[in-house]
Amino acid sequence: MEIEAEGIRKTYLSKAGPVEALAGVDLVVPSGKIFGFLGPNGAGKTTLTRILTTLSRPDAGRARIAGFDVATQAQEVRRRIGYVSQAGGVDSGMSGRANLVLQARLQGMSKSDTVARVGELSDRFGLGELLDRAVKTLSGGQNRRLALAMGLVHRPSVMFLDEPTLGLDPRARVDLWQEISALRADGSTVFLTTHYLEEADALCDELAIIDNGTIVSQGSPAALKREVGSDDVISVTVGAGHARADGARTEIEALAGANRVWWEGDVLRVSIADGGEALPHLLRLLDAAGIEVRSVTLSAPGLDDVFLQKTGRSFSAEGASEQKPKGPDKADEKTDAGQLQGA
Amino acid sequence: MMRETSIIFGYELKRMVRNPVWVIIGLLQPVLWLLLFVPLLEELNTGAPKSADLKTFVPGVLTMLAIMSTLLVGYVFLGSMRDGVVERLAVTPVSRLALALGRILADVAGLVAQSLLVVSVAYLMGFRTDPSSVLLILALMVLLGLSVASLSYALALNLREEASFSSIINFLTLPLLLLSGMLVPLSFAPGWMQAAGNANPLHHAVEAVRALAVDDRGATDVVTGFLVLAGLTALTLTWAARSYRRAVP
Repeated sequence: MEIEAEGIRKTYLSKAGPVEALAGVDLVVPSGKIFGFLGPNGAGKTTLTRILTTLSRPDAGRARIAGFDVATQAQEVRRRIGYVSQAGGVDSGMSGRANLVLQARLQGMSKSDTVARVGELSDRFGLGELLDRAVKTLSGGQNRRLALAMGLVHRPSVMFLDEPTLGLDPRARVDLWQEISALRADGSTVFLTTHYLEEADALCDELAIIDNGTIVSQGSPAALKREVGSDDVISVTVGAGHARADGARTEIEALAGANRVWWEGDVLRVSIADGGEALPHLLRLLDAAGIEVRSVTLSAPGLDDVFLQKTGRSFSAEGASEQKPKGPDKADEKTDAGQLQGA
Repeated sequence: MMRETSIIFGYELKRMVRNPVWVIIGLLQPVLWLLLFVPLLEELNTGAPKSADLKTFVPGVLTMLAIMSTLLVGYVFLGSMRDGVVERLAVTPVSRLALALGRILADVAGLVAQSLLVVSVAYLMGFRTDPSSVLLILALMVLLGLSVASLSYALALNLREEASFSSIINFLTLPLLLLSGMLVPLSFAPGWMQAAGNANPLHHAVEAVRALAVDDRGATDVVTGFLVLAGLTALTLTWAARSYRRAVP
């Protein structure tokens, strides 16, 4: 197990009183997977990431990364993890190259290893001439790629990415998704937080959904969606004159997992447990009944359905504010400070 | 630990030199003080010879320089915190002491470079002091830089945002400068102001540098200056270190 957490609790004192950011979180992340931590803003994602990356100590509970305790063996943990925070952590007063070199040297690499590694990462992330430009002049996507390269400089076995695509345009986001997927191909474990449902769905092998400091659900995206029981919906647009031709209806209703079959104008809709599997059978049935098929769409239940069911609230309403204000969370860190004074 | 400190130190120096604002303002400003202020002293016709004027004025410029160039290091640090740089460095296996020390030593090195420049320009203008006095002056500047930079970092780490940081720095600067006797020696001031000046560590720094400028290396002012600054450095450095440890355990 690459990441293990047990009973993690953390309470902050804000001006409005104590805020329980994490109320007993248990987590197990196997190696070589992309693990997503999904939740609306303020759900406790960053707090947990900071604890797992040794930046903050939990009030209670233990966590181990690659077998090392984050509180008592922080140095060992730091050698094995890469971390890209929400802010990115790229020093805008320097070139990308200087940023990468510093990171490599601080991870204990020799000068010659550093040069070789910077070259490798530059090729892999297509940084090239961007490396010698002032970081200020890079686009959001370029900056993120550089941040990712910096996190990877010492070949960490676990990579922590806190809201890696926050504020990026859709194109840059998809590019970054590819880079993150490539990490898994290298055999790294990736722990990422996100409040984008489609990001969690597209990237993660396994997901934990967190709300108000508690994990409300955990599993693969597909399993989570299945768990809430929302069916896939297959919509078939048929040729003119074929609407309401119910020749195959009995057979369609008999398909495994089919719950409801109905017509909306020229569109036949089938609500069914596993639409992907049923689709070829359905098409064969329609064909056999002589019904002309013009087009087919398959829509799967979304993670928002999962969130709605588990928390009783709609995710989009919760995560409406897309962009958190930049910079350290004041209440968060101040209290951290207070609590650590005695530690 | 040494290796890590020197890596951070080298990086921060490079960062300083790469920043055109620092190079222009940081290096030009102290020279401008000399070039544009000293002629005024001559016009004032204090009756003293020019070299005596310089021996009063150059120590003032040096001390002011120490304040101006190090009191704002916390502001730059707040930018690094906002960009997540401070956190990113804290997730490396580098000792916290090396991270802090490398950075603060670079600030001090910048100040020493500026001070040497001021002394050189002053030399061209007729300022003559024994080299051993100059070394002692630089030692005082190092202590002053360490304490003011520590104060600035501690404030930044505790306030966490630029607006309140700037307000506090502005609020602190004026009385500290005026009650130090940097530009006009406090011996011209009324008694209550002199008393207030005695409570201002900067005043003792200025007086110590003035004594060294006239090569009075054994003066009580020199001893007092070193003691006061050493104490101040110990205090502010401790405060900064504690604040830093709280921010990144």
